[in-house]
Formats: sequence, structure tokens, C-alpha cells
Amino acid sequence: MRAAPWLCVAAVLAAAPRAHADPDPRRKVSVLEYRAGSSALPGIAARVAAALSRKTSLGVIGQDQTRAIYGDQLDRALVKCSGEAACVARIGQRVGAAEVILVGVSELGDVILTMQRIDVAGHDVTGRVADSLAASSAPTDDQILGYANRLLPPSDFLRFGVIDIVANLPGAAVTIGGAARGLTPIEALKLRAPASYDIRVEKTGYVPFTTRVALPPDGEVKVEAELVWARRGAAAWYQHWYVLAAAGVIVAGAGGTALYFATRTTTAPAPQGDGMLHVTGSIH
Amino acid sequence: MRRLAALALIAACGASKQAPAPDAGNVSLVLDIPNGVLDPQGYTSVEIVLHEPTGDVTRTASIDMNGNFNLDRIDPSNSVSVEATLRNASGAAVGYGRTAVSSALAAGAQITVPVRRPIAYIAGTVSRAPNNDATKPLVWTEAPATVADLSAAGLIDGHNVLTGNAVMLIAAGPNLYMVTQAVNSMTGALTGTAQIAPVSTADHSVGAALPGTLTGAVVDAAGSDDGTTLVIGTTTELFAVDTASGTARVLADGSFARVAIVASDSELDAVVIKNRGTTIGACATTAEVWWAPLTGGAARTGHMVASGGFSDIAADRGHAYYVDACKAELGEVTAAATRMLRTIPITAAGQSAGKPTALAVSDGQAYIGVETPPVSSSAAATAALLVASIASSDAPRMLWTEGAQQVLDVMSHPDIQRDLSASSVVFEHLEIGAGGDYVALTTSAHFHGAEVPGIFFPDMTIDTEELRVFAAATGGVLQRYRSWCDGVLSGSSADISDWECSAATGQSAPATLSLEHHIGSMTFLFGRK
Repeated sequence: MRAAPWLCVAAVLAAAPRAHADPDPRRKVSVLEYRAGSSALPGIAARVAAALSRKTSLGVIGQDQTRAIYGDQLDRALVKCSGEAACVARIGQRVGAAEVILVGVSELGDVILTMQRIDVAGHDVTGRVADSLAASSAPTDDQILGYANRLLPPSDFLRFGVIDIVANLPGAAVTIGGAARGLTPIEALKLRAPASYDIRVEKTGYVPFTTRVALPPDGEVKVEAELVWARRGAAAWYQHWYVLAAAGVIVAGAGGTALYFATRTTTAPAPQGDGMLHVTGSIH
Repeated sequence: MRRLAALALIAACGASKQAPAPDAGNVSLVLDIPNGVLDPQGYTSVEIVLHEPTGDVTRTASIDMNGNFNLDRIDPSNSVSVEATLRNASGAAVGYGRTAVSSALAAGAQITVPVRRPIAYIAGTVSRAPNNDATKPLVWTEAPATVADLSAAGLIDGHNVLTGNAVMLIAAGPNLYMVTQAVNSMTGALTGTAQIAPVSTADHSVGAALPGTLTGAVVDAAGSDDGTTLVIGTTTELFAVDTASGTARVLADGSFARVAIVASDSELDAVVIKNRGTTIGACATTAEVWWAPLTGGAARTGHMVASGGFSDIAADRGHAYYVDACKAELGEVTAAATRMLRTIPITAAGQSAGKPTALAVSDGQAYIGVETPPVSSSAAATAALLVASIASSDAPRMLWTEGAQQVLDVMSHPDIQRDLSASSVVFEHLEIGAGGDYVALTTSAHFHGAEVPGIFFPDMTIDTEELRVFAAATGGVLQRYRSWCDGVLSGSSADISDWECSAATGQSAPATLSLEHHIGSMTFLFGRK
């Protein structure tokens, strides 16, 4: 029973290499706007950049941030490129981006919105979407996200995993990453992944359970927290040195995860105080 | 293994006896006051807010006789900006300051926070009879700026003024500048080139004028917290002034009536409103929000972001915000676009629809001035101040609302009075002082009373201008200073000519007529708008 979290983590880690064929999900992407004589869809590139920032793990820089790095001549350089991929890639190269998303607006009766994914190293277009919009309309946020879904690989989009915490006691407070999440029994929690989370389960009179889990994308980690009564004025039975030694053996034997983490965090001394600073001040 | 475990157990037992853990190091905060007659006075405690990426840490400590204080133990942080408020025994802010950029809260660090008194300054021109000779036509002239020191006791009566005339005051963090410009004596319009001079925040002495000059009548201005940059909107151009070199460069051409500066650790930007329309009558949608990078020193860097019914802009913690009087909305401005954040409820029971026309933002709280026209010819136009959270959709809180009225007395017959209701009230300036303790606003109001032959009341057209300062937490009015009240009387049946504007309860007025002036600008040291 105690071995369950380890088994679960191991299963998803084995699946992780599938993502290696995809580009780095944290790569830097510059979102730029190119207009072919059209003033329609004002601020569309900024909306695309905002959507990508919200929904993907990419390091998105919008046109203003790109301009801050590239210089004030960015807009002139973009116009000069006229949408040509190699030319735009050189702009991306200069600002350290791995890719450029070039958002184009033109008008042929309707407003034509295009989004091109330009690989900076390869100087070529690796993806393209286009849509025709009525002159007075603008794409919704969902539509923009739909374009992005067609343009970028699924691995770029934020993913989630599930942490299921089961405690042996009701009414214990659950904290994940420092944020209170409720009392046990508690529903499985959907959290951003991949990520590592510090979990703490505590109840007055019991030794707190703490552990850290790595949550893989689309994975589920089950954490079984066993809270043990702390006798007043005495260390809990497993806090004695001879029991700690035994616990280490259990962990090595792939058992007793909860016990291992609990004892580790309740007995480990801070090597240099608690890391806090003493702040004083004066008026001069 | 056994030895390690035993040591760990001993350490845990030690901790359970609450032995103090050693500190990771010391940090020193220096509250830098100007060392002059304008030093904050009467403080007994300090409130420190550390703005960290993970949230704010607030600490309060008493200050000893030597000006020292102890904030105890605080977690280190890679990036922290600091706000410091000095408070007196009753909790009122008597000094305030903040750092302009973030720094590390790490062992050995010394962080200096400039701190100044919470002073609001109002400046403008005046129209009066030469040598107080009522038989001569009124002429417009410049006037000294009024100092409203909120750390001093008593009501403002206008006697505390700066040396020399000024048409505008600009605060840039802990620093202060005044703008001088000539006035057309017939029309009151500002004319000729404007000059800028530094004003000491230690003693209010005025320094030599900066070499850069401005063209067009100055309308609104803002200064950066680090004191390096002023942005000034005039009727013909938008200027950035480098306070170190004193040079002025043009950011954009046009008439700019509202100015704010957006600051992050790496750059400064100006966000401004061009072609702002009047807020009285039909809604004007011709205003434009412009954005101009200030970092880099280039000229004419401004570009238009959007057009619409924009009536005011504000900046707070690296973000810029707007209110749109026509759409009754609060939104965010970036260099590329505007984005609606929330609508502002503008219609209260028994009132007609109003317009949000003034905005100031501090620590995520938006203070919004709403003008509401009268529902009938006899009713008063209403001004209201709402507080809305930027981040949530909670209903805004009404901090203050009032139908604008003005009582007129007859000097020779104190028992005769006339009460006028304003046909319009306009927010001119709105700014937050002392990090959110004080909210100051100025309004102008227009009153008209028709001739009443039966009782010999003349036709009256009266204009007033007022400064109000509120306690932001309670909405309590701390100061209500009527800087200007004047008008025109006419009518064949009128036999009373010595009318004067009466002061309402809690309202103060200039101690002498020579201290009156219109309010062309209002600013706080370390203000936010």
C-alpha cells in the first residue's frame, strides 16, 4: 500500500521520453505582426501573444518586448521583410527566439488573418493557418486558441496531472506548494504538470506528514499520508534513532514511503539557522 | 546511519525548546529624509511593506528616540521593492516613501528609501482686478502655488505658498519641480514657452530653471519615481524632460491632456490621452490613448494605441489603466492595445447616468471619479468617488458622493442667502498620496441662478474650484479647500451687489482674496495617478 506513489511515478516517467521528438516546450517564441496595408484587427498580435502566454509553456515575447531587444527599427525591418520567412527568421535570431509566430493581416474584401510559424534556425515556415473574417468582425479568444492549436505541437500547451491524497484520518489539513487545499477526505486535485509539489498533511496532536512528488503531465500520483499520534512531551515512537534506522531499511526495500518522508522532514536540522534575515532600520 | 539519526533527534529536541535559530544575515533599511525644515515630524512608528514576487510582507515597528527600528526576521528575497510610511501616535501618515526599483533582500544589503512629508500642491492662474480696483476690468495673472501639508494640523487656508509664481507643480518620486509660463491677461490662456525649475523638498527653495523649454500651454504632467524623467503634455506637444541634463524632447505632436508614467525595473513609458473631449454634455469619442517609450532618449517615439471615449489614465506597479467615459468602463492599456477589465456602475437611484472621468490606481485599487449631470433644472450635478479592485469583479465601494451646491451670502446683510445647485461638476485632478492613505481630488463646478425680481436676487453665474482630501480607508473628508469662487451678477431688479461665496461646514477658503487661484494642477510627492 505504501509503495503505490513510487509505482505510479515510475510508470509515467517511463512514458515521458515520448515527448523528446517535440521541440522544447519552453523555447522562446516571438510573436510579430505584419500588415499588408490593412488597419483591421487592431492589436491582434498582442492578443495572440497573450493567448500563447496563458495557454502554453512557451517563453512568449510580444512585439513590444521584441522591440525592446531589437531596437526601434523593428517595425521598419518587419515591413521590409514583407512576410518573407528567412528575413523574419533573422529578426528572430537577433532577439534570441527559437521561433517567430508571424501574424499577418491583409484585406481582400474580407479580412485575411494568417499565422505562420517560422523556424529561426531553419529559416523556413513550419506551419501556417489562415482564416477569412468579415470586415467588421474579430476572432474570439477561443478562435485564436484554435489557430494556435493547429499551428503548434500539443506538447507546447499546458498540461495537467492529478494528485490524489488519501489520509488515514479525517479532518487533516492539506497544503500543496504552500497553499491550503482543504481537509481530508479531499478530492483528487488537478494541477499543472510537469511540476514538483511539496505536500503537507497535518492535524493537531499528530506528527505532520510531508513529502515532495514529481507530477508528470496527464499522470496521476496517489499519496497515502499516514498520520501518527504524537505523545505529549515525548517523541513519536518512530522518531527514536533505532526506528529511524529501521525506516531507512524499509525505504531501501521499496516500502514505507510515508514514514520515510515524515521522519526526514521532522528531524532534519536547518544547516544554517532558518535562512531568515534580521532586518533593522534607521531614519537619516 | 545511527549516529546521523541521533544527531538529528538532538537537533529536533533543541528546536522544540524554542532555542532561537541563528539569522542568515542582517539587512539595513535607511529611511532617507531631506534633512531640512520639511522633514517628517511627530512619527512614532513605521510601517514597511515589502513587495515581493510571491506577495507582500507588511511589518510595523516602533521608532526609538534615535530614529532606529527593528523589523525582526524576514525571509530573504531576490527582488523586493519597499514602501515606508511613518505614522504618528494616532496612526496618521506623516511621512511616506518608496524605492523606485527592486533590489535583493539579502544578507549584508542596505536599502535606502527616500521619505517625504505627505504634501499636496495645487497651482494655477488667477483673474482679479488690478490693485483690487473693482472698477477696472479683470486681468489674468500667474499666482504662487498652494501647499497643503497633510501632516500639519488645521484646515488649509492658502497662506502656505511656494516662492514665485507657478502654473504647474510636478512630483517625481521624492523630487519636486515647478513650471512657469506667461498668461494672456485678457483670455487667461497660457502663452509663450514654459520653463521648469527644481523645488527643494527640504525647504521649498526654488533652484535655477532647467535649460529645456516647452511650447504650447502646459496641461498635465507626471514624474517618474526615480526622479529622472518628467512627462509633460501641452496643447501642441508631448514632452519628456531629462531632469539630470534638463533637456526636453518631443515624444509626439498634438494636444495631450492626461499623462501618466508606467515604470518597471527595466524601462519607463509614458501613457497619455490625446484630444480629450469635454466631459460635459454629449459623450466625445475622439480621444486617443498614446504610448511612448521613455527609455533610450529618442524623439517622437509615441504611437497611438486606441481611440474612443477615454477620459483618464493611470499607472500602478508596471501596468497602465484607463477609464472610458462613454463606455463606462475601466481597462488596461499596453503598448499594443486596450483591454476592458470591468464596467463601472454609474447610475445610482434617482440619478441620471454618469461618466467615469478621473482615475488613480494604487496597489491594485482603482479610485474612479464619476460625474453625473442633474436630473432636473433644479437638481444638482453630482460627483462621486468609487473604489474598485483591479483584480476582482467585486462591486465598487462608494467612497464619497455629493450634489454640488454653493451658498452665497450678502456681506452687508448676513441673514440673506441664496443656495445654488451646480449645473455641472467636473473632476479636474485625482491622485493618491502616502501610498494609499490619502486620496486628493479637485473639482470645478458651474452654478446658475436666474434673476428673482420679487426678492431682488440678481441673475448669478458662479464658478468654484475645490480641493478635497479623503482618508482612503474610511472616506472621511480631511480637507475641503475652496481655492476659487467667482461669478457674474446681472439683472435690472437687483439692488444687492455685495454677494460672496459662503463656506460650508468643514470647508475652508483662502485667508485673503490675494491667495485665491484656479487649480490648473495638483500633485502629491510620491503621488500615484
